[in-house]
Amino acid sequence: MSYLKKHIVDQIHDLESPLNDRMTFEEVMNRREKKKRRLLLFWPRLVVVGGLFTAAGLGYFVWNTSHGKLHKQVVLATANTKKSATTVNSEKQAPTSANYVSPMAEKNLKQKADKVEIPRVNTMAEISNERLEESAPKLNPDITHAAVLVETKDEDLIVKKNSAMDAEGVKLDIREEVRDDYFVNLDRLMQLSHSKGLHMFEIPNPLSESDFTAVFVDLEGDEQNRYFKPGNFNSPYHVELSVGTGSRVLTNFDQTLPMSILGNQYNAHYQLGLLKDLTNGLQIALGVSYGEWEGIGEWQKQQWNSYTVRDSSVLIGFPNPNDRQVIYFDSLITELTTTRGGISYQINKISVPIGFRKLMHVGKVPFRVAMQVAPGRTTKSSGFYFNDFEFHSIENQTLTTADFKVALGPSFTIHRNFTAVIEPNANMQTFYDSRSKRLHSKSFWGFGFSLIRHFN
Amino acid sequence: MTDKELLEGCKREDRICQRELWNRYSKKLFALCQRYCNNTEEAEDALMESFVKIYNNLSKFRGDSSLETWMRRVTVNQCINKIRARKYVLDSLTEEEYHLGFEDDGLNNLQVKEILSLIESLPVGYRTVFNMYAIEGYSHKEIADELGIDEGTSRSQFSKARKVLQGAISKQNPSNNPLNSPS
Repeated sequence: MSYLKKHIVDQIHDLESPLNDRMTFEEVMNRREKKKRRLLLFWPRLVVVGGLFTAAGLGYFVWNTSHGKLHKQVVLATANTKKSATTVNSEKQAPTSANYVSPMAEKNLKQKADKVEIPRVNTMAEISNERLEESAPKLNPDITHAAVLVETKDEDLIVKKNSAMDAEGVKLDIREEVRDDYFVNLDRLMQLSHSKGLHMFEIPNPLSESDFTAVFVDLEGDEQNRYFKPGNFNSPYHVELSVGTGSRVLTNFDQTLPMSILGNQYNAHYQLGLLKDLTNGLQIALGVSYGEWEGIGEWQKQQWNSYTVRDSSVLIGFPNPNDRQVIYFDSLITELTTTRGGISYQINKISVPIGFRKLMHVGKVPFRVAMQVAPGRTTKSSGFYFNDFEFHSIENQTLTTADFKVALGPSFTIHRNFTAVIEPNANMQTFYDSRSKRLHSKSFWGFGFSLIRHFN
Repeated sequence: MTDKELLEGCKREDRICQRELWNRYSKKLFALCQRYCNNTEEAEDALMESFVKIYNNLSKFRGDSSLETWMRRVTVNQCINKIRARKYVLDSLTEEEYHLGFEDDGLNNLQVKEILSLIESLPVGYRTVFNMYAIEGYSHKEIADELGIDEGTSRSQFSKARKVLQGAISKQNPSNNPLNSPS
């Protein structure tokens, strides 16, 4: 029963509003082209910014130190990374949410049939036993019938009727709509990196020793931050120990998509680095980092099936006894079937962070801005990596990774030779999957803490 | 040109078909956007963005529903995204439950123009829920999922919207209000 009468709803649906001059077909097409270009340029732009960042970092390092050998090693590493990223991999394509038939189901994709409250529909009976046996020979016997069906093709993936289905039996299929907010956070991070990062690329003229002195004369009197200023120590080098975390939480399934995933994803990294003072409170950093990136969640697959049911028929007679006509009254019924299961992944990696630190003041409070890029390799990858609407296996791969981080937070002198920095951060974790030949990335908001050791 | 031919043409990126699709549906969908959005600029933007999505995703449309229904759904989603961006709208939604029956509020006795005028006068939170439930045919669960609110909140907003509408109808024409009519 609908609240408004059908003819009123139909009239409202048929209403038209005149368009103004700004709303033209050409304008829509222009917007579409712009979006396409933006999408096309996204990854090249990311690579360019990352490359500039790395090159600027290395340039500074070489300019201010005599570590020629180290410079050469890092450049080689970057070149190798690029090569492996473009190599065509002839391995069999990894399973994905689209073409998924996996023997790993019992380990990582355990079906949670107990969450399904409504019994399966009759169409399950049409699946032959042969197919079930063929598709699930390695499944754990504990897995329910529904889990076996996950291993079959899409058309067999009917486990239950969704209890939320509209009483009138009409559920519209809008799986065609593609969500583009997947890219929004990356864009946001890109913009952040861009605006902040380019500023960092402006290489100031190197100052002489006397210039350094002049800088400190300006800053005199700020006792609390005495140990925070570059050059207040005899040694321009500092050691930094950092811990950082990030998280990304999605709590609701997207009911409009055929495949939707929710869950918690988080990362933690532990980093040891060497900082070197440059000029104007700028420092360059190079170090080694160990990171863990995990995700645990649930997937939901939805399928809409339509069929016609004959409600009744009427036989109409005519004056001529040989003429007759039958009228059938049919209803179109659309059923939504939903399947859910668990999913998780883990990526452990070692990387080489290269970045900048900028020391500054906001009023009386000293702040530090940190930006870094950390290319690396995984030491462990397991499970099924997922984003909001798809997943695929990353089991036992050595992946090339690159992490980007921007952090800003207040600093405190906790000892003559030690400074602590609290660092809320935005970070982006990326990896290149050579099996599916795709670059995956995810942005996180997080929190971190750094301890800096100074030397006299 | 039938919808099917239009669809095939658009999938081939045929400019003539794409233009025809715009000519055929843009005014209807603009009326829909205006029911959801706060002002004309926002409705214009929602319509354009909806058509960008429609053109980009037509190749994935499988024809389980009619083309118009699918386009309406995409447009409603786009409008909801706009509403979501105005976070304060959803922040104002509370889960205070109103228990109104499902009887006719007198709305069905009005002209469409009057109904739309009344809906337009609703606060944006009520209006969104009312539009989705009463006109687009979403269930409360679907509304809750789309707007990121509880199902109970959706019901509550709908009930409140009805209460406001009842008040407005009784002001316009006291005899139309079922609460005033003799039982």
